[in-house]
Amino acid sequence: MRHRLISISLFLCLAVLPPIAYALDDPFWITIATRMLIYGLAAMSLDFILGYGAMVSFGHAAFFGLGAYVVGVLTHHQFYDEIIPFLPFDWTGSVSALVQWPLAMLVAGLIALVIGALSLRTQGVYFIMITLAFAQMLYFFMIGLPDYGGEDGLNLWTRSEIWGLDLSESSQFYYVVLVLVGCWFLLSSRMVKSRFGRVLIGCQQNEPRMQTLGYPVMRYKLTAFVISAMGTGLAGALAANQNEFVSPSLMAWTTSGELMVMVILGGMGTLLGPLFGAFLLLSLEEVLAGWTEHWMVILGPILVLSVLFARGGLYRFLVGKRDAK
Amino acid sequence: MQSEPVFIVDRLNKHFGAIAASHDLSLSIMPGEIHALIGPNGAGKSTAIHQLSGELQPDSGQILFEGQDITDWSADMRARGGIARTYQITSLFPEMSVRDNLAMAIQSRDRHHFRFWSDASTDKQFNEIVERLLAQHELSEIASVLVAQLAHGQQRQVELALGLALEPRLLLLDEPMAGMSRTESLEMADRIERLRGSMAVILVEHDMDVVFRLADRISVLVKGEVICTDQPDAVRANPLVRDAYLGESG
Repeated sequence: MRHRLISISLFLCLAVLPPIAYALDDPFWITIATRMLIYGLAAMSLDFILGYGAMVSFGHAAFFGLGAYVVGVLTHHQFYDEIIPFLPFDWTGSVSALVQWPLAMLVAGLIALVIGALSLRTQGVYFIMITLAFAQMLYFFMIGLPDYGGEDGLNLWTRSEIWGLDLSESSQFYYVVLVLVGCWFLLSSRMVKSRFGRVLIGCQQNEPRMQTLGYPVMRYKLTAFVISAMGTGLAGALAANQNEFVSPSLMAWTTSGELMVMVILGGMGTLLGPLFGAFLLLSLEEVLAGWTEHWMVILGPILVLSVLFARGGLYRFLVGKRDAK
Repeated sequence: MQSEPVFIVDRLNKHFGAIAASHDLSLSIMPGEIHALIGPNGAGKSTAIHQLSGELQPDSGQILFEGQDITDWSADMRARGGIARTYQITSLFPEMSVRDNLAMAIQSRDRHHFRFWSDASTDKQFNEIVERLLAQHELSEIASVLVAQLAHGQQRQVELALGLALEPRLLLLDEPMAGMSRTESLEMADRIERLRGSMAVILVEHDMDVVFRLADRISVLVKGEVICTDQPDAVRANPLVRDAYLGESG
């Protein structure tokens, strides 16, 4: 029951954050919180396979970046009224969020289908390495695309558009992100309790046994991998919107690493934990970077200590060990 | 024998480098019989079971189940097709309760796993099947205990229950008594005894008392090859078997 209590109070706190930030005359908090939510969404999606299916993907930055680039490319073409060259039909892109965001998820999902089908044949360290390799391939592919800014990235000039809303206004954008994160959290927590989720957890605990019990294990893992990539792709699309800028650095392996750290800090296999993990990591970065430019030197030991002494992550600490599942 | 064999293994070969783990290994299993597979250590019993369950592909040879060639079937296809197995080294879901372990097997039989939305733990009809099976295997009392916290003997019991939950027509038992006390072994033997007639069983076991008590027929495996298949008394009397096996291990 404490799970429900914590999740409800977290989302309530997040819901009242903008008015409080305005009241304190510090609207910058909204921007920071939006960023945390976006990364939290990506981390939560990673947790879906890492925490429940024991698939340690070190390449989720690829899906994050892909989602961002879908928004970037579509906005770019719409802005210059140019036909997108690599599509079989004539289309000059779109800035509608209802087109861009689902498409970002779709593209991330399709690429994940290919990457997953190849990577999931391996396990353990090999899986970590092969997902990393695919992400690096996409990273260098984007660097090698001068039409879309290459290494320098792409300016978007504008955010996505939803009828009736103004996403360039920070608190409206914040609420849209918050609702999406909430929906994804609900969806994921239903999924891990469903029959599909049970199979995933079974694979995590004893994959060979799942196979001799008659489960086509590969199909389940691939499905989960694709779902996870779609959530991460959506987060990427939102990140592109917030920054109004996309660049290959979104796909760099350091982004994959950050997402993984958020999951571990927050608590693997908790879904909500990675959201806390994202808050914690990004605040630490924010605070420490304010003190010294060598903030990584401080962050490193904090990570090591938290892995050593708070192994269940922040969320398990909040819920209490006994309740944690 | 009046009826047709349900399971035919025809000249399986499996090499690991220069070592022949299976050499022209052939078996034919009759419906409802308990067929023991014995042999000295390193005779290739476990390798054989792995090939029968589909976890290992043979280099050559053929496997027929109910008249169908299943040689190329993966392990999960064979499990869905009616061949279940248990493991010598207990292979369960340690962080789940006994109930959830059984539910995992029953869900596999049920085939509606691509359900993403409804909460699996509130499916009433499904839960009734699980409870019935728990009772049938005398596991109701420990249903909520995590498998990792069970005593070894109880884990072995769950291991068997998991295989039976699939309602197989052929059950591969890989040393079901491994590590059990004398009393537990006898209980396990009773459980296996009760399966006679309801499904074909291939039993790999070290405990000769158990083997000679349970088996309808025995195949003796030496260096990956079946040197004799016969009824227990005939196997006991066979000089070849005495030489290769019984004499050696005492």
